[in-house]
Amino acid sequence: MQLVVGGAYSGKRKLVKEKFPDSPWISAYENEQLTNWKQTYESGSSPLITEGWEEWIRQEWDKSGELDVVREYFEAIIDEMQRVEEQRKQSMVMIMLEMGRGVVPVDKDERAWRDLSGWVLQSAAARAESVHYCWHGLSRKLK
Amino acid sequence: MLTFISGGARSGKSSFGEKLALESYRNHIRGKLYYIATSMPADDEMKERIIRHRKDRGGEWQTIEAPIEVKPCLNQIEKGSTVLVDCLTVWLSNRLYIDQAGWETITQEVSGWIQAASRRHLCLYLVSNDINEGMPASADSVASYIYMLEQLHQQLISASEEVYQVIAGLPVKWKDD
Repeated sequence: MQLVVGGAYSGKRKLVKEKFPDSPWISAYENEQLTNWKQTYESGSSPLITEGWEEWIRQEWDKSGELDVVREYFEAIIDEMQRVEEQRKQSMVMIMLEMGRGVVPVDKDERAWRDLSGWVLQSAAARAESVHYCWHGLSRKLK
Repeated sequence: MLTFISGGARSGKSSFGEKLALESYRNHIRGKLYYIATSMPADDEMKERIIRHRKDRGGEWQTIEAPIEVKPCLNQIEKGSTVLVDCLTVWLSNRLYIDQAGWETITQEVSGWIQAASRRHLCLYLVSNDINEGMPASADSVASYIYMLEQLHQQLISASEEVYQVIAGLPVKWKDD
């Protein structure tokens, strides 16, 4: 698994597009659901790219309202992605948003959203064989 | 020559920019050393702070206040000068909300800075702010401000010889041509 992380509009998508121009994408920004990832993955031959994880995290949080439930839900997806990836010897690229560097949000839901996004990001980074960080259109390999 | 410096709030990015600009000025025989301040002194507290900053920087600096138009300043000062523009975030919000300039005008002005720096042999140091790594903006106007700022960062970075991210006062070099 490969992870690309960075702030809003920092050039994450551009970096991935340049590297994998013909890959299938599942984008939360296009109202696509992560639940379809296995079908999309199996139909393509190049790596599957998933972007907008914070949106899916927010949706799950709004549904369940339980931190542990949401966290485990996404960790299970990442584990499953890693398992399928090893089976098929085909890579997977996750694009995630850095959103933890501002003031602690006053709103409880926003705090939960930020916490969950940070935890999922850490899980993804721990499992990924490569991690790239984007900053104002430049990128640097962190792992 | 263009140098881009950015970092979080109170990361020491301005001090680092000042240090680099001063070193560059002292190593050059030509031109003067300019500080282009983009903020507008809104109240007495702000005015006092500006005066104190000016004193702290010392006598080698010439200060120009340019909240809206930076390009004419760059075209008027002596060739070969060293210039620090502090900061891009404030300038962009002035252009958008006070001057109500359109996006095209803004990107053209920034292209004008890049051209002036190269044509007039200026050592131009630009200081900006990392504001895109917090919570996603809930208001569209804030999201589009962040988007525009990121576009300007990328425009300036691609024309820069050196790019630094300042973290806790320490510079991390991102680009060195």
